[in-house]
Amino acid sequence: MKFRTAASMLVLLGTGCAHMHHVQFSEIDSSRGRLEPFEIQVNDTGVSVHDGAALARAAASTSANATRAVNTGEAIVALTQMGPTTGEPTFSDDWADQMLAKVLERCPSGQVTGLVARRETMKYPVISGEIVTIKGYCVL
Amino acid sequence: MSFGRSGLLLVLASIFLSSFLGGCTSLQSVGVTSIPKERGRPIEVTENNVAFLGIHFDNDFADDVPEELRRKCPNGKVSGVFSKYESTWYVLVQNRSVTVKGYCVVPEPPVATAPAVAMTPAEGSP
Repeated sequence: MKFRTAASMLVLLGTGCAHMHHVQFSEIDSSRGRLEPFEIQVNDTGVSVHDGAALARAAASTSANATRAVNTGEAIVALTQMGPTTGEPTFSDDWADQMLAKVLERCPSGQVTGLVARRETMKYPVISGEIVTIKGYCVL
Repeated sequence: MSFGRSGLLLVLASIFLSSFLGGCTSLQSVGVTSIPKERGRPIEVTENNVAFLGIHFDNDFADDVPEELRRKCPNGKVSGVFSKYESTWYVLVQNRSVTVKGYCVVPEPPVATAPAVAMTPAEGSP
């Protein structure tokens, strides 16, 4: 049983890696003046119910009732979160909304070019970093 | 249980065929910006990132693409930008690839206008 628990932990710990979901490039205008690069990143914490349930199952593997309860809970959450997702679910849907304000903060002239938008996930056991990165150039 | 020589060959042939004939490429995202009427020189930049078992530790491999585009179009505007992000599996290795294509449009230098000269009567004219 210890081996099973250790194997589950190892698998979960071993999944820490980077996923890139989407990247998009925009026009770059080098003819309007000097360009200064900038980078903005916003993120939120995602939670993997599946990973959490796997951990709970490993911890409660001696009790059949507890394992059944974990399975039922996981199934209920899975049924309420059906559909395609990008990364893991988060607790809010507006964590990336301040991106535009941050771009204007970094580039007060408002003249921006060469924008690159990247949506990525840094996956760790149970939780994940849900990240949006904007890179670009401010026209000086 | 033993496969025998023919069984082993069959298994190897199946692995070989599935590796080369199976669908292993996935298009993750595509984007296009407005395409200019005056299309200049086409330019293209591609960056790749290979990882064993598809385990990547960062997503920085495409960070140099904008600078590379600027190097290829130093004084112009890269417009009509088509960007594509795809991943391909080669059995145990995953390759992620970002391709960006666009047109380098260099603005024409402003035409120097001759200063207006007042018409003067030519010498000797009545």
